[in-house]
Amino acid sequence: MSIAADTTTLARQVLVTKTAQRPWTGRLLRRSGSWSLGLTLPLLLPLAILGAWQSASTWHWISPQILPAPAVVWGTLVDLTASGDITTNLGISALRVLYGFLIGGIAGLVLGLAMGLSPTVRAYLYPTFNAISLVPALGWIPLLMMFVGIGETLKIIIIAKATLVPIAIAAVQGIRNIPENYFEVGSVFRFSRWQVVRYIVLPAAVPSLFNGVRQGLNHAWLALVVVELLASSEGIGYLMVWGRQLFQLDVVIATMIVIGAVGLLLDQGLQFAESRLLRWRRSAY
Amino acid sequence: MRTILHPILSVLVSAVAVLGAADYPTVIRVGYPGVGNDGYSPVGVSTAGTIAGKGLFEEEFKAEGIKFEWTFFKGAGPALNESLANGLLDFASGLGDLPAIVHRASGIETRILAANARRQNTYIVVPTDSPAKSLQDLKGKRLALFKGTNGSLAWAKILKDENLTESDFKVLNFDSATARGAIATKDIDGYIGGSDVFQLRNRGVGRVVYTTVGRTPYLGRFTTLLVTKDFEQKYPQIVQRIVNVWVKEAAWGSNESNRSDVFKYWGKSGQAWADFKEDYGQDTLASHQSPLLDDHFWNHYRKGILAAHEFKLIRKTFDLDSWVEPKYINEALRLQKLENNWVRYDADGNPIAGSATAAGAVSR
Repeated sequence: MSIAADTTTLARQVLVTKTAQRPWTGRLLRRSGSWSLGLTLPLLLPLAILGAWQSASTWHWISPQILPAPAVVWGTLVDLTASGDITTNLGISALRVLYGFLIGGIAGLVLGLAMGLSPTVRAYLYPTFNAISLVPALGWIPLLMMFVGIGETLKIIIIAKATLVPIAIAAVQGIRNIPENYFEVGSVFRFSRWQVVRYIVLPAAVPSLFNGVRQGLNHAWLALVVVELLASSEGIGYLMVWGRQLFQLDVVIATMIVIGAVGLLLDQGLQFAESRLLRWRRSAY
Repeated sequence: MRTILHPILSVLVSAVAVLGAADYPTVIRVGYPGVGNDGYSPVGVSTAGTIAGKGLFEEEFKAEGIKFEWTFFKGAGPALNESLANGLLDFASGLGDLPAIVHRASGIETRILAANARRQNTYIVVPTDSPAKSLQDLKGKRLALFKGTNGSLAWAKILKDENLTESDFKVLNFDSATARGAIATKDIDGYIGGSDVFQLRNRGVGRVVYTTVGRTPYLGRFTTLLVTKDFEQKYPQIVQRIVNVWVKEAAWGSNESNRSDVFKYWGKSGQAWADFKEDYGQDTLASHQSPLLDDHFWNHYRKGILAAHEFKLIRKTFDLDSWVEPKYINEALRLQKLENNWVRYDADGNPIAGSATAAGAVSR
């Protein structure tokens, strides 16, 4: 037992040393010694856009009904938050994403792992899966409406589908990209089938899986907005439709900002979680 | 891209127009907030629709060689407003009360010239096998409404009248053609529409559970003819001639001896003649087709602005007096000696006795 534990630890360290790598950009920034540059650069473009937006409204390049001034949109954002419109609708939207993401995520993981681990399953399913995944979420809506109507089920299925695809693909790719010599190390240590999965496949595929989960969540969020724009009576996407129908473009833009900000938060949140959870990979570095 | 280019283009176009002939534009752009029953054909009803169908504006300005560019908006009033804000329209023909109030509240400068259709009815239809017998029975159900159109304001007023609120229902934004389809496939539990709901009942897929017929005129919907402030200031003579055509056609559409022809003409929209007949019931044509800016019109819009604000459809109110420009219709009535052709309605929508002499002016 203790010998087995020792060998797996050893194997793990061998593998970790091989895989751990820092992205070159990170190294560059670290070398230049100016991490503030890393914070400043991404802000330049948004500031430029904000400047152009402000100029457009100051000099009336575009009618204020079509493009309200940044200050107006900010005021609307504050109002909508204070009145609870944003929080209530975001809550409804978040719940939809949560359900869709959980269902799609679990299904995607299972499907992806099965296709990655078993050449037989892959041979049966992968081509079909690929074909289906190429039809965008929007393309599924008309058909799905016929089957499940336009209620919550439709929204959750669309979000689940949007989540499932990137996660499953990431799982398959992650497993397929594991270098052959890892498995050779495994056979040197005479790993059982389960040990191969537990100590070689999963650790090596985790970065790719995490990437898939991140992408899955991104896609879930995007799909949510699409379905809410089409058929909804509540939610953040609906708030946008409402703004457009009543010709309140400031509400539309404010909603866009919220959607973008939440999407960014979700992505950054997962990135942060990833770097925390996968810290063990760097421990040997 | 459209958003940025079109104002520039329209500036160029008007610059060319100014340099060329200052008195006449080469093209007059008119928007109509709807399409035919099929969901895309360029046909409509009421004075606005028959003028478009018969090409009456084109005829009036044939001598000057002015072209008319009509746009029929599947997206109805809200889509027309977007076009208006982009400077792509000179006239909005038959725009509903709410979308007009909405664009005006957002600062788009227009002038109301004449009424188009007035006190239009609202109906709520459910799938045939629905257990609902009244609006109250539909609580918690999914209803389709074309949001931002005048149906939105009518719906808000109906809710208040019935002591209900929007949150008692799940109200989805569907255009009319889609909503009718969704009733047929039972994807929604109800549709808040106009006389277009009758076709659902006639096909055996829908049942009407609510109507504004016989209720207070306050629940009715209005539509009007509007012009942009810029166009009105630049071409007042053209505006006058447009309104002349309008009044003449409204007189045709209000004349009881044309009743059948009027409905037949509207039938080009794809909606059955019988639907209009049923919708109007015992009402005179004039009670719906009068172009007059009478007390009922003023009160409807005055209350409409307040109601739209109360129901949070607009965020600030505005002055009605500076929005309505009655001088053109007054002149048109005088020119055509039609001052007494239509009965005038008081603020509450009751006919003012002795205000009309023509045969078509029977009260409702």
